[in-house]
Amino acid sequence: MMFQYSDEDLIAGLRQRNSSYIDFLYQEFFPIVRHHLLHNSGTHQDGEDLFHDGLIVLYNRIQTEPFKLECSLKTYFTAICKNLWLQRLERRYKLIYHAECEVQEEPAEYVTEDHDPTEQNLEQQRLFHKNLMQLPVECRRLLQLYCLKIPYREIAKLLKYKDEVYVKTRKYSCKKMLRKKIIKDPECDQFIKHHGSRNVR
Amino acid sequence: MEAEMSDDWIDRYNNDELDEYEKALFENKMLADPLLRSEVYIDACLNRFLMDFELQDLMKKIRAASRKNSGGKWLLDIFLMIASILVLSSIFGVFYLVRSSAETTPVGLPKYAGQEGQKVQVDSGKRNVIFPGDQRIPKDLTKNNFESLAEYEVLVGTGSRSDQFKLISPNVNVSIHIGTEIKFVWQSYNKQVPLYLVILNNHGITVSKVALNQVSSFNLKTKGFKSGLYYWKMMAEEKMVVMGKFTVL
Repeated sequence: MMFQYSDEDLIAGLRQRNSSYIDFLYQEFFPIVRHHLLHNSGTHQDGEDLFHDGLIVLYNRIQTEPFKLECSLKTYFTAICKNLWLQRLERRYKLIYHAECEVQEEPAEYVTEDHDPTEQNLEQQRLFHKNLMQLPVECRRLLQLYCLKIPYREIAKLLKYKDEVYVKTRKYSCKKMLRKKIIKDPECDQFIKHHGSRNVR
Repeated sequence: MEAEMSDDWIDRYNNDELDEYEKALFENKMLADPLLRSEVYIDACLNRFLMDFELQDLMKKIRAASRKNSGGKWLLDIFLMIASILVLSSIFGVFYLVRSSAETTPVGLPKYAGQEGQKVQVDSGKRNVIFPGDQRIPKDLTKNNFESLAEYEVLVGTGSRSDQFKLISPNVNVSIHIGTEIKFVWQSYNKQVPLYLVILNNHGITVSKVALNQVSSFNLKTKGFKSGLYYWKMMAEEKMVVMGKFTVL
């Protein structure tokens, strides 16, 4: 049997990035997002991605205090996802799109805020995360420690590397591996088209 | 120099660790190399992403929730598929067993016994078991179950219509244990003629009669037979084709 959480509980749980609340949100909200997408030129995978991005936007929103809901969280989340999908469709296909609301409630007013990540940024972050997760565990750990500003000497001890120089070299190679993976990912095309060419591989 | 540049200069450039000379050199190279330009851009974005641990943690948990839920469905689908296969197999298995049993097993064969010459029930049109009655063999008749019957002894191994019929098994005189099957195999050159297998006890009483339409083998199940001597004869058009005997131990 699944627990029922109030909107306030869900917001508090998401604010702490609590896994059980995120699970609950997925089970409750994902079907709505998927339904919306399947009826609006989207696929199941688009639904997964949109739910992912919508939750990131919601997470960013609830970090700013005070956060006040003027409708149910479900309606609010659905509005975020619809807005994102609208932007994505416009960017991808340049189509005119009219949203319909499947949630049997009044549609929520949704205005993109300045600190919201852009739709394109969300997609880029997803691309980075996907490729980061494909790196060897040791590389991921090394990059994490480096980003935590742990001194090279400490990293060498933690990962049992022979010295700092090796840590540095390894860090470069891991970073390079990640960069190459990202650039080779077909989804990366849209982000680098203004910055270079993919011909040289 | 080139290799060194592409390996760590991108990182150093984005971390502002290059000196003025190196920076100028690197920027010149970027102008001429679109791929390097892309890498530098991606690297800069990547640096911002890698520093955002909260975001990475949240993304990891969302992915886990997605995998968990779709994984559960996948498992459920597999489970349902296996369950369906098992149920269907069971249904077909039972159906097959019932069908094959109906085709090869004379239902209730050992249960019935009747007097020879007694009118038998014939279910025409199919291969049938014909029960000569529901009379049990009287106890006094089974006292000397192993004594041979002189009239039949002379007929064991003999037969007629050898041009139309050839017995392959069993031997005309076999001994078996209760429950063992006796396999009757024969070749019949005229399958249109109805064939019967008649089992008699050592008192000449018909124990069972089986119609063998358009088959060339039959397994006689002796489960339920009493120990003793039995005679069998295969009949075609009321004439004996071959006769043999078996002893149930």
